[in-house]
Amino acid sequence: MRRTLTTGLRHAALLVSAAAFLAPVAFLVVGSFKPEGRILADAGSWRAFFPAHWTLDNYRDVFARVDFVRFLLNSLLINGAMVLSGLAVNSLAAYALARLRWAGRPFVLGLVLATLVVPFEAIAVPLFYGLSAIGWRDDWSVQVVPFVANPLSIWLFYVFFAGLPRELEEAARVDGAGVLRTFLTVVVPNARAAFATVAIVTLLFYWGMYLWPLLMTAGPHARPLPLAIATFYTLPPLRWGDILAFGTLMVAPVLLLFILFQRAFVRGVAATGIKG
Amino acid sequence: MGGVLLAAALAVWAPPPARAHAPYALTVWFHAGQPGERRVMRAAVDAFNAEQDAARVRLVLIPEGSYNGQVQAAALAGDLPDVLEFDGPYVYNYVWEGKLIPLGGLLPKRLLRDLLPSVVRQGTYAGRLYSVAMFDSGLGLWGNRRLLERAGVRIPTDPAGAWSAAQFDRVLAALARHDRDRRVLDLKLDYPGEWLTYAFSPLIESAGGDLIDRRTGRTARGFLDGPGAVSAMRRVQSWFRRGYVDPDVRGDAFVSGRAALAWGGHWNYPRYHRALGRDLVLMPLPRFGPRLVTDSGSWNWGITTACRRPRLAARFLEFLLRPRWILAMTAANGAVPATRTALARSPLYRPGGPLRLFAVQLEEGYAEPRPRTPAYPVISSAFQQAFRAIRNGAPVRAALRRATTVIDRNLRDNDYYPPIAVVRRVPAAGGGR
Repeated sequence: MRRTLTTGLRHAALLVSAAAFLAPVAFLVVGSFKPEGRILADAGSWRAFFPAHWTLDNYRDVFARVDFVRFLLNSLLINGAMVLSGLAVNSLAAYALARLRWAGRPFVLGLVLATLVVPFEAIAVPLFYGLSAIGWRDDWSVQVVPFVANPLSIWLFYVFFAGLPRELEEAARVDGAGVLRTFLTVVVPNARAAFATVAIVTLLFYWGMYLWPLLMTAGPHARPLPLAIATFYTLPPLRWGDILAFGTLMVAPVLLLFILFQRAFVRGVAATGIKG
Repeated sequence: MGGVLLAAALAVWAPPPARAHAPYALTVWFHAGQPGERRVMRAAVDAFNAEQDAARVRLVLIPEGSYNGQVQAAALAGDLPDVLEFDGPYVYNYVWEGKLIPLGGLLPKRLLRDLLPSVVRQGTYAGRLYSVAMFDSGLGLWGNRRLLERAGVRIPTDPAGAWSAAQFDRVLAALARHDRDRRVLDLKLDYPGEWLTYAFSPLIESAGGDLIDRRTGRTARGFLDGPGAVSAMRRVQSWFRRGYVDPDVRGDAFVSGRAALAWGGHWNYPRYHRALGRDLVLMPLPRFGPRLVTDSGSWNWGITTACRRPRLAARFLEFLLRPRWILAMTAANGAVPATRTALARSPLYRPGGPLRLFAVQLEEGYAEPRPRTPAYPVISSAFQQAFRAIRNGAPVRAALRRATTVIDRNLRDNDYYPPIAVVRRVPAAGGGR
């Protein structure tokens, strides 16, 4: 009886916290389908989550007011390049730190860990000046290359690789495989969960990045989605429906990807210990 | 035979004749405002490119919400465009930072004479003109005729007839007596950004105070926390205390008929007119002292110090300021045309037009531009904080004194903004046609 009560209370607490986390997302999505006049009017009541009248006007507005497809493609290109190149570079760096024996390895590992505590905002200005001085601005590559090497990604891979049984790699070595081949044919197939986790964490972090593209881009040809939303912050009155619709469209690809790779992500989180 | 072959070879290999003058690529940054504004600007750029072959304009749309950030980043990277559009609050800051060149010698005198005085005052810093505009803004009080007449109050329609502060208090009381929830005044408290400074600093100026000492630009002490400012803001606070102000979280207080009065500007007209029709009346703000003061200012055009061909850039600005394009732009955004010629042809603003009052305020000197100081963004931010505190019931004098301290500290920290960048001149060499 007591156990049932405890389980019930635990489930209730989980439901409440899940609702608290889901409420903003639900407000965003539901609000994007409401007529402009109802969004703020309903905001203070349960009606915020249950539209009486559905409309696609806000979505029509978004496509009329900005070149959404172009900004989406820019974001996909920038983030896709960043994730793929990041997976390659950071996994190799982590493998070298976790498995290879070379002089200065502990020092480099310490250095990588130390850079984890430096926020991007602290290096944004010197990085901006340095790259501007060599004329590297206003294209998509400048939004990718500075972020390919990522200490958090290296650390996540390092933790995962360090936990893999060495016997697998030793068997490959006995069969004559070199380091790179061992990595590609033995380690990578066994580390899918880590790759999925790092990909999703990287994407979550950079998909909404605002400061760097703001500093480095001028024209729409290289501007990602987070900058495009600033188009909707015009002279009053603001059209909140358009802003919510744009937000929904911006969140959708990441959400979809997360749902698709949810299992691998959860396995990776458990294995690399990034939960909590 | 050999000579023929050589001649033939030379003929084949001769470089193509050089083009006499490749058009100069003139980069223009424009705020990505309303779709109508973008359409007009694209059409104007196409027409300019077709009309002449000295320059080819490349139009870049910058999102409004991140505009200033992108301008600052481009300036730091040495990547400013040739022609830049910018919002009123940043004019003097950009001039002081050396981003803009003076326009005086670049634009024809007849055009400068045609500009509204408010536009010239807005664009002038340290005695020189740095910006022009296609349009200006109008600030006033919108009224619901039916509700005003029901309360039996006089409806002022020109600056001379503006309600005094005491009269305005009586108007609010009379309207409240006829209103179920007594919330008769919409102050647009849901507007973001600079609205609070734009909308309510004129009351302080009308009462004899100011945001800063405009003569020296060195302090706000005695102006923003002086007796005029304190009495003006205490009166505003009393409107909240007495429950006259509709919080208007839904943004429909005025159009639904809940509030009889709405603080607002030219941009409200299309929606209000649709909702109220002939019941919509436009009135001047109340005057809190001997003279009526309202605000002005909107998006401006300037030529940056990065421009290698300022005269070509000026030619583009001159093109934009033709009545045809001003009227097209103001038809798209509803703003006040910035030249007298265009104003006279505007159905909304010419004598007898429904928004004529806004034009009169700008033409006859009732509109006070923002203080001409690079510190304006800081001043505006400090005033907004003070206003929010006052709205929430904080002691008025203390709130204004805090804002004054913030402003004076900024002025002191920046050595009172010495005119370090104002010495820039139009480049002589390569200044072009």
